[in-house]
Amino acid sequence: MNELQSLQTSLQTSFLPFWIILLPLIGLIINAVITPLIFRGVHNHLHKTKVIFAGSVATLVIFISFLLSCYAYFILSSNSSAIKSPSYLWPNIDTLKISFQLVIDKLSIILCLVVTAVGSLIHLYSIGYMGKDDGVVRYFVFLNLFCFSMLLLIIGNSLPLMFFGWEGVGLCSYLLIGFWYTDKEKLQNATKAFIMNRIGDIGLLLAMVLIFKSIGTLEISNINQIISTYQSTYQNTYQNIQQITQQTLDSQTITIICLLLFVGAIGKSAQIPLYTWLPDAMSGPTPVSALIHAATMVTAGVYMIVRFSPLYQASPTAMAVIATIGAGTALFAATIAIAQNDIKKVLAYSTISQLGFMFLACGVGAYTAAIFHLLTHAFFKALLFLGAGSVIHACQGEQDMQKFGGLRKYLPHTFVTMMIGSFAISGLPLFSGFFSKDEILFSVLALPYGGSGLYLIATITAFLTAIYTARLISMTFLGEERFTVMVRKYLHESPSVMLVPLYVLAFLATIGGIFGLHHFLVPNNYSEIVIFSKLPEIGIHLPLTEREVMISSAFISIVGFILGLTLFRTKTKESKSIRKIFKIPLSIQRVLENKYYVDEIYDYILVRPLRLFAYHCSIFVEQYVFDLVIVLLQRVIFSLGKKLRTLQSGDVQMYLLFFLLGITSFLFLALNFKG
Amino acid sequence: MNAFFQIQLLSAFLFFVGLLVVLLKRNIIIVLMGIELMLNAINLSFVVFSKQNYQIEGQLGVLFIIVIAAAESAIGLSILINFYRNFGVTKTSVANTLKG
Repeated sequence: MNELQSLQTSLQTSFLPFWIILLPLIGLIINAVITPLIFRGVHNHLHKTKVIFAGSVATLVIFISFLLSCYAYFILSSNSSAIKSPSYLWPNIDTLKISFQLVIDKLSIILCLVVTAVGSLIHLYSIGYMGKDDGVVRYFVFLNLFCFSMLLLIIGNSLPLMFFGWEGVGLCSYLLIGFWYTDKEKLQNATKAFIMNRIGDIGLLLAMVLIFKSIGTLEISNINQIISTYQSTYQNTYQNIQQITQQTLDSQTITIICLLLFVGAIGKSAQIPLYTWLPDAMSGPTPVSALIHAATMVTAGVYMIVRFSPLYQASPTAMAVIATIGAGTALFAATIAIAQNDIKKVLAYSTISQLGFMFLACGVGAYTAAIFHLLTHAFFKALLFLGAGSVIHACQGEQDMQKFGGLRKYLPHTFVTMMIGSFAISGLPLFSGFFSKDEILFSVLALPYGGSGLYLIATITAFLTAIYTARLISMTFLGEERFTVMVRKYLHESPSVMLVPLYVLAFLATIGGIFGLHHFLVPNNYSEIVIFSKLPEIGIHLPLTEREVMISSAFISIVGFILGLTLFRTKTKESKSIRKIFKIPLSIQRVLENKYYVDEIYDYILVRPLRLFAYHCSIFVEQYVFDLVIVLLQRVIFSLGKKLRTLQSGDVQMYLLFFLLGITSFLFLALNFKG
Repeated sequence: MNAFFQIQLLSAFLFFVGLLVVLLKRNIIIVLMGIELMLNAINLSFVVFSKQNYQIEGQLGVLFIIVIAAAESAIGLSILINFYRNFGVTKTSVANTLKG
């Protein structure tokens, strides 16, 4: 027994976290350096070998990372609280000490498992999906770089490290949205995503500065510890605060820090008002949309807020803001999703809506529910995206749902798996989404920060979710065949390398609810890291009990799903618009289809004035300010050089004289000013 | 004014004569001779200090300097010969190819 304990304590500082993030880096280096060397000068006839080599290297490293994460999970599920890597000191400037340390605790292990598990499946899928593309090696390099950055974001123990990963995933997102860089529109979408993320990043950066100024450390665990101490002191005696933190820290500062951090989360996780980049990010390859823009990167904001839950718990104002923005985004995006015709755009708005759900959970203090929903969402949304990718792959790149219909016959496997995915996202009972969504709904109702208004919005959103998901299934797989003759000719089910990930994800999306059962995923004390708001006992001071909430949410999802399925199932050549079904005015439908014209408003308010300003700068400032200054500078230097040139006469004896004078004057100075 | 100081003055005088020769004379052979003169002035100074302070290191240093000066003048002369082959004269004013 003693031996086992000593083994576990020795494992508490191990190189395991390093290996988990290093493996994607190794795969990246192999694919970036060695693969091009092997296949140099080899052309089309070996393209398939190249794809298989690059793809299997990339997949294998992530899969080994996954196995290591599993190993880490089993270490954590026995008695150790966190696996820490050795700590190396980075910049050490006065009080600013940033250590390079990776920590896997009970929160980050969940994210680690999601990223590596979903990541390896999507890498595998990509071998099939991207097989015919010329830039496939570049694609796998970017994908591995993404996994590296994401894992660094998750397990880095200091804020600068987290920020490094945060920027890294942003960069990979940019590179992969603009993967087909010859298309100007895709490139513009990539730029849009990058710039909008920068806005959020400024918030995160400012939050870091403020945290360092007021709390005095950038290590995440230290910050949380100090805040917790502050909290307990705050409740007991107000006077001791200054002694404990030894810094200036008051509740107002905490609120500002929380809100700034949340600005970062808004940018990364596509919430109102910075959400417009995510639907446009769908111009990247579909597996990228599944991995980066649905399962992992966009959930980084939620993860960060859960990570800093002690901080947020100290600021009711920030919590209210998060809950409001989360609920607002959830409803707003759901209404847009219902009127979109591009299959990937529907899923993109659905992602925004589900992220809003997670923020709502964070905002009412149900951090565990948020993480649980993050986990199930990663499974079913990745599944839906990969299924959509399979459909797009089969239909020669067609994405308009009005041109699908009746694909059930031709793509049976895709149909089955996507059905499971849509059951899960709609929250049909016994599928994973049901449990996580129900937990959020009940938390919103039961926790002190929540309320009936938020519950109502969340329920309506859940209803809309079921409808638009059913609409997607109905328009794609059921009803009349609306595709063109050319598409019909080449229609085929995807290869098994793409179907295997679909089935695995379908399995996970079905049983994912088990992970939410108490103490299954996180066997020991989870509340060390995350503030765990205790749910009240059933039926005390509440308008609805837990059982009623569960039954009503199940009822709503089933009704919504059946409604969506039947309403949008068409017999005519033309797909029925939502106007004809709900008898709503044409103007409202237009507004929904055009996403409330938010893009256009941003364009008029921000983009065009900026463009105009830049244009005038390029003409006036460039010509009259910079050119003038630079020409002047050049003239001065030129004339000066002309005069100084005479000094270099080429006469060695003259140089010697100067040398002598110099030495003499230095000696003179040295002898006369000794002290 | 003791004898040591007088010899130091002689040494300084020789050094400055050498320096002026190096600075002012335009013939490379004479410049080389000036360098030798400066070296020997230093040698003299070394020996005198060594005597004055009862330390043998100064005289040892002089021996080293003589050896190195021999090697140096050999190199200097060979450069001189090459210079003469290239330019046909031994005037320093010709060696201004690095003029700016």
